[in-house]
Amino acid sequence: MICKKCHKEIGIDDLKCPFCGANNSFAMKHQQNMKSFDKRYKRTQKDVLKTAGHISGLGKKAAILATLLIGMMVMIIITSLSYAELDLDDYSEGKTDAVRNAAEYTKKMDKYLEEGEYIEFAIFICEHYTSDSRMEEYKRFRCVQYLAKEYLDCIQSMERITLRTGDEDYHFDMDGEIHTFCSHLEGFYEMYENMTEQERNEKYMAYLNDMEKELRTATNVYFHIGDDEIDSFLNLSEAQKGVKLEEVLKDEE
Amino acid sequence: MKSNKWDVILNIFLFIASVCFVLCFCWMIYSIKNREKKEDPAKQYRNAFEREIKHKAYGEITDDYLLKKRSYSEPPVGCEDIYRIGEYAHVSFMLKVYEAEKNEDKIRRNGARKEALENELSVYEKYGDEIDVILEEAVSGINKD
Repeated sequence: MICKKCHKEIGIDDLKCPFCGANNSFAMKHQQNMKSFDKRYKRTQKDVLKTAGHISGLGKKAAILATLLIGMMVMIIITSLSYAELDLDDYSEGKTDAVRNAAEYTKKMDKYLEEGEYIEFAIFICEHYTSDSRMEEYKRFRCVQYLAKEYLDCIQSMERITLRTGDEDYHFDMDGEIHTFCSHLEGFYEMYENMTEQERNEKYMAYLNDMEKELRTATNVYFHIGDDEIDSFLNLSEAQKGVKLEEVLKDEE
Repeated sequence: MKSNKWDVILNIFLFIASVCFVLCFCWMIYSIKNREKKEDPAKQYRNAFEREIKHKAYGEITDDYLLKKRSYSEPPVGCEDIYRIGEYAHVSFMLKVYEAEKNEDKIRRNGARKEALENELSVYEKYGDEIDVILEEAVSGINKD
């Protein structure tokens, strides 16, 4: 740049002209600006570093949180597995027993069916895990086994309702029990429909039909739903069945 | 300001997660330690039965009986009498169904079974009579509510 007084060439950083000693206002202003920029730069640098440190602190906390959550999930799985192992022990022992005693068990199962003891049959298959066995000896019972379990659930539910206590100090959830029965009943008829489509053996088909007939009779005897009403009752939704049964059971003589 | 807000939120979550972690850990240790401990099934069964018979909840008694039978054909030792009354209620219930069906074989078989159980009820004989009354009323449509 050029000195304003002596018009000689001077440096931009020269605060005074080296030739005439005049003040270089431009250089002074430049130096002030540079100081100001430097200050701002350092402040910005400080802010950036502070923010970066803060974010990395947040990141660490997030990582710890994630680790704690994963740790909890692992512990829950371990605890659940430790309970499941106990059930699996009984189950695998039961299946081995069913395989080992197939001849004896199938004979008993046939006897129960011939006598029409479907509840005893259902209890037997639950106790001995025969419905889970893939052995050839049990395959012929497949459809009857599935339906018998549903039948047992229905009867068990009906007994709970019919033999309920009248003691007000003992909590009995009537609405809940009725809805449980209706859902078992729906389950039974769905299974009945499926199994009658699949069963090819006439003898076992007769057992399926016999169970259905017995359940209808039980519903008639204890819940007073006549044969002519039962089909329309079965076509109601589960909620409507519940309402209908409540009316029947709570109806005053 | 914004990062302070996130800081506070994360701190809260961290605290809650730490507490839950410690609780989960304690629960896991407790479950593993108690895994081998088996509660006496007979005692549990009897306690439940005493409560149910006191309130004449025969439906619960027969329900327990059927549930237990799905796992064990023989009752837990010391609970034979409880099984008997549960079975009595169940057999009586089914007998009414067979009578309605007019199935002579089943009526005969179950009738004999009911009679045999009745003779073995001993101290629970009065409950057997009550069960019969309840079933009779249910069949005839008299509401006890």
